[in-house]
Amino acid sequence: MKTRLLSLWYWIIHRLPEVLLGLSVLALAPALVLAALALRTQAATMLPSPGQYWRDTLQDPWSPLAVLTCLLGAGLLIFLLWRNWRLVWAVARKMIIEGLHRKVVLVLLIFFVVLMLSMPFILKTEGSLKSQVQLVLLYSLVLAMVLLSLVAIFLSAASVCSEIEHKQVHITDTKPLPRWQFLLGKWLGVVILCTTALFAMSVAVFLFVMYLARPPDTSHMDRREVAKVAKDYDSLFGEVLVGRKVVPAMLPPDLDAVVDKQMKEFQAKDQLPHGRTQLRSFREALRDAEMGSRLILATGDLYVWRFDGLQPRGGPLYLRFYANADPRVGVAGRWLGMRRKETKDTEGKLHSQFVPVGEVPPPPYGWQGGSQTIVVPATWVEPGGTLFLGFQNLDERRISFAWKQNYTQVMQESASFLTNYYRTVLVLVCHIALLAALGIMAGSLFSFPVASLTVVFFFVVGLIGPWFASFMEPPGMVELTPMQDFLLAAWQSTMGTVLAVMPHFGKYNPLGDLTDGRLVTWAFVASAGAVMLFIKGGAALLIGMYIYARRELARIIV
Amino acid sequence: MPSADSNVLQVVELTKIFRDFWGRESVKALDGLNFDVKRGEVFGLLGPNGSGKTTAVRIILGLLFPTRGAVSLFGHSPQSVEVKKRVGYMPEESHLYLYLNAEETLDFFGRLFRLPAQERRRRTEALIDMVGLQRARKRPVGQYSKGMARRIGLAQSLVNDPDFLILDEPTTGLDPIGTREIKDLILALRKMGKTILLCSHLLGDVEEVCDRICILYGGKQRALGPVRELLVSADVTQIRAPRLEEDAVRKIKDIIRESTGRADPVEVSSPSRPLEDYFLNVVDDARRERLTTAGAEVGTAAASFLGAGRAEPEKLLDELVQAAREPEKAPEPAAQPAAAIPVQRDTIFIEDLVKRGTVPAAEEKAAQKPAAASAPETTVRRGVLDELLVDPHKGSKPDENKAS
Repeated sequence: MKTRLLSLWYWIIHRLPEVLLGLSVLALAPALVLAALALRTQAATMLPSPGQYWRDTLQDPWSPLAVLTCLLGAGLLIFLLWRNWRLVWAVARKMIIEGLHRKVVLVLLIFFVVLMLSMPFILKTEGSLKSQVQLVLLYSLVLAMVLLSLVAIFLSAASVCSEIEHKQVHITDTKPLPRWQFLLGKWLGVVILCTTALFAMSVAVFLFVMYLARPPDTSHMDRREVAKVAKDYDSLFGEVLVGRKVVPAMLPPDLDAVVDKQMKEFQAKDQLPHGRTQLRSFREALRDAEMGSRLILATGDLYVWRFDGLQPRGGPLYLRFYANADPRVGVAGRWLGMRRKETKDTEGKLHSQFVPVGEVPPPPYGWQGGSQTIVVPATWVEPGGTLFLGFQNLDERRISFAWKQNYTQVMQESASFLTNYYRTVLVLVCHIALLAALGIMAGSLFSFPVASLTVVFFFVVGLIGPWFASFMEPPGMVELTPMQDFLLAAWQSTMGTVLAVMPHFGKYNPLGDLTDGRLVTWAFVASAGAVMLFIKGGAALLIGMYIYARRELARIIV
Repeated sequence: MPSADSNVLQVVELTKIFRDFWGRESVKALDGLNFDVKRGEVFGLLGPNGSGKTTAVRIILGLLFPTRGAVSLFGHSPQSVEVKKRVGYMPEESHLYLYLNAEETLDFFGRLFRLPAQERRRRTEALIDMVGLQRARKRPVGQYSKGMARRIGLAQSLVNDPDFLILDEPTTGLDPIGTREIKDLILALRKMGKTILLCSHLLGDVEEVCDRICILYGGKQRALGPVRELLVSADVTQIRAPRLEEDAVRKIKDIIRESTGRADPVEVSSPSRPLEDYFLNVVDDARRERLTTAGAEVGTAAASFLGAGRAEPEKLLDELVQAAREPEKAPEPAAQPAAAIPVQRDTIFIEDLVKRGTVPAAEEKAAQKPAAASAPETTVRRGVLDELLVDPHKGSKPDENKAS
């Protein structure tokens, strides 16, 4: 019996790479089902009026393009793996054994579990259950990502260049194994190892969060405390553990026409600046000024925002706005649900007019400034999915609303937390696959420390890229000479290209959305997969393969 | 099909120049190398350390690219995947994956040849038996001694039953038994019709197994030809006989002097037993007493799948290994007059090298050290070339067995 158990154990150990492969396939399989369901929903919206659907969709062609890229990329990858499975799997298998042997993943998992469990004690929260769960969720996933990114970088870079340095390739390369398949196998091995680790960690985080979010024990509380806890509990499931669709308010339809008219006036007075970048930023400034002036409400003023694409009979709506008012004082005013009413005047002309259908009861000290979220009844949504919300300023002071980054938006529950969480993890898998590809590329060119540092450099630039890009904004309304204007344009296009080539870890980071209870859409997953996994990851792998196939393996380059 | 061609390997005007980071020439590792290896022969690539042997092998394997000249392996480029299916390579040092054990290592390399699982298992078993690592099969290769790792290195080179085997310094790090086994294996593989390129500076090994040799020095080719032709010295005859009385010896000396008409010294002495023979006997005795060892055990003859499909390989193998252990009965010496093993010497090339003072002292030592372990089983105690390299002045003496 004992020996039989022992031999079973050896068999499992020997088969661990296959087990991990099976687990990662199992973990990724629901993606196909869920993506297919999402496509079916899309098809359902398309079928009634296909022409309209495609016109709408092609307004922003990126999403269908991303889906297409994902399908093509996945098809190509599966085709390559299927055609060369034996050799690629042999290498991947050995890579997994190497990773397991180096105990990297094991140590990592132990670190992770210890840190995750201690998080509720380390993190300082405002005391509510909602913020505690939110922070634990965010930091656990950030921790998992950082650890796995490092593993993906170092494992992939080190394993390629250490095989060159320690001359194992001298044997492996004399076998009938095409060099590109060697690299593909290494990449696959790292991805399988990291994917299973990531899924294990995600399951742990999910279970831990669900444990933290268990119904509170209210038996020893008085009624006021129970009400407070219940509200906290509701807000946790309404605002964190949920997937809410984000609908930003639409810009006024006449905005661009008004700005164009103003531009023409400036042109007539010959007051327009010269140079392309200057002209663009001038127009931008005009647009900002126009929009800003509309969002400044004097006493008695009413402004109405329009939101499209909501579910009329869906869950509650969360309105998020950002107002410039003193947060300590608050502003008197009212949020109104509006309905458009069309009336004919005596000459038979159509006039649309807004009539209020309901009011959100104001808090006792008025509406606070800064960023604020309030709940709005879903019944205000018109049958077509449109919602009009108005704010009327009843204070003697002015109040102004923000736009651009903090523009008013409405969120509505449209997916469960679990599916949202799953999509988040899928995006993280794309991150890791890209890092592994970068590691393979660097490892096929450089020796160990240089290779790893190169990927770390890419990683950091990818993280801070968007922040870095903000330095490229043209300097205000300063008059530039043609030379300066040319240099600025050249600088912008060069840096724009460089940053576009770099991995966009910051841009495709789903963690903010997830922990804020916002929907991580399939379109987002598709564009993350298209850009990070298939376009950038594929390019990195191809570059690595090209270099590796053409280099002398018996020499160390750097 | 290139197999119709009798040349397995063709090296034409091969030149390799290593450049530094700035593209300046730093080393000329090979300079106009020209040789070919014919189907079914054992070809030796010889030379002191740093003479370009390993560079040549790496170019032949496609790990380095030639600066000038060309290499064709089975009529194709060395990069070709099809060619690699037919080649086995045992590198100078065992560059193995330290965390895999012997079985996993051979299984991995078997996978790279797209062998089905059952076949991989069969070959792994046979090869582990062949190199005598049955007891260490589950231990990670990283824990192996150098010699044990070399054995796995040899086993992996045979996993695809290659037509062309490249062995780079195959006997370094091996004990005398292992050395003997490798030499037996080379001879057995040759009999199976395989082609072997042997790279070595252990001249005894080379002399014993190679058909033809090429001697490199400083990246240049200094000699090329069949071993027997290069080594036979036509003006010396060696006689071997059962123990003779003083009287008989004197008579023989007289006869020789008469027939040659010269008063050159004629030496007569008892030959000493080569150390290799003695060592192998001691180990054989220990084996008979069933002493166990945690290290490498004595391997079996070549794994049975090697050369499968060719005429009666196993029977042939047995015969061969037998033959190799009893060189007197080996087919080639038998062609010579009975009981007279020719003393094969040709000092021209080596003396030429040595006189120019081109062999550094360190290399002499390197050549000297392993000589005892790898001495061939002929009546000549050490490889002639070995001797010559060690001490150029002794080269002119007919024999040095006088001491015993």
